[in-house]
Amino acid sequence: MTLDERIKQALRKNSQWEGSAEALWAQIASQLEEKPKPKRQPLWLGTAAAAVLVMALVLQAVWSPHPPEPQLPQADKSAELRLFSTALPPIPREAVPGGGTVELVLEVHLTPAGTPSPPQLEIWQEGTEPALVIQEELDGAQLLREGVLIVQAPSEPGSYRLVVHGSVPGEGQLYAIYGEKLVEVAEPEN
Amino acid sequence: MEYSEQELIRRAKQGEHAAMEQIFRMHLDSAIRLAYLVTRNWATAEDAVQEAFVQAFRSLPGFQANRPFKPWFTRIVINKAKRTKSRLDREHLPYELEEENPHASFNPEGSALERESLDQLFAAINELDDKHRLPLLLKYVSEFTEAEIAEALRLPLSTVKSRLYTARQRLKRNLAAREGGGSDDPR
Repeated sequence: MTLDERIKQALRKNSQWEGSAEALWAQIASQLEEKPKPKRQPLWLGTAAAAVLVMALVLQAVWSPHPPEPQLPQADKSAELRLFSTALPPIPREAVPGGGTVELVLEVHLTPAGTPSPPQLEIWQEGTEPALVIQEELDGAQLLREGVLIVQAPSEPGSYRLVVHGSVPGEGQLYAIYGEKLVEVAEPEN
Repeated sequence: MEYSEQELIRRAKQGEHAAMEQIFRMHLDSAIRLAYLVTRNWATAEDAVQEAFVQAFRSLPGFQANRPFKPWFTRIVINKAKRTKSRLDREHLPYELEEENPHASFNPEGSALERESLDQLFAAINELDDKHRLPLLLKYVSEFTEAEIAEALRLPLSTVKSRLYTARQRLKRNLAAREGGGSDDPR
């Protein structure tokens, strides 16, 4: 007998199963009928996930350099301007003829990086309920260069508030532009 | 009705229990022997084989039909058997192979000398470490080719060849020593 045959015989002689194939199959078949149990997530996994989420929210609140500014509805903007102006020294009123020109000196300063917003000129007619009478977009680069804006006053007599605001990118930085003036358009002289 | 293994697998994939049962009967003998030789305990070998069949049938939908079933399934059996064996080791349950196997009724006509010689060889096989014993079991119990052993154990073919060669050499030496320095080449 060769070694191969002897190994085979030795292994067969010592591994004679006398169990029941039918009984074993019955157990397997009954297990196959059952649906596999869904794996339960360990309790610590849920706790860890919650902890990470809370940590992330806290870190975002602490480190976020530009928290989003609340968006005020358009109608509230005049109220915002009024409130702002009461906190500052009174702005001198300039009397101009209807359709005459007004020089608006602009304040320009560096602002933290953010999204540029094209500068705009707004002319509000003052009264019990301020009304926006003119709104136009301006050339930001020109405003940065010149620092002043020549505005044509409305032709209708009345009190007006001229406001320029926006932010303009330049030389890799962002500049905020702001200017404000009150004008009084007089009745035309006959 | 006789079906090819591939056809049976196709049917079993569709959940046909009759096909699964035929696959079970085709592979049971080899699987239970292998599990027993790994765990050295019949009860745990049965548990391991049962778990292996259940896992294999549940995993059939992901099994590629063009791959051979036996090495894939045998790998599952080995894993289950190893796991139950390590549980036995932890619980310090006795190995049945330590004593006379109660099921050993093979070759009743063989001479006492021959039976003793086979028992000595079996003892020598059990003294091999797992990395040499497992390829040997797959070759002689499951009757795998070397390529199938390589696939089942996920080893390079050259490694399987080398381990089989080393295992046989160790058995020869061990037998020669047990037989009191008899023939150096027990062919």
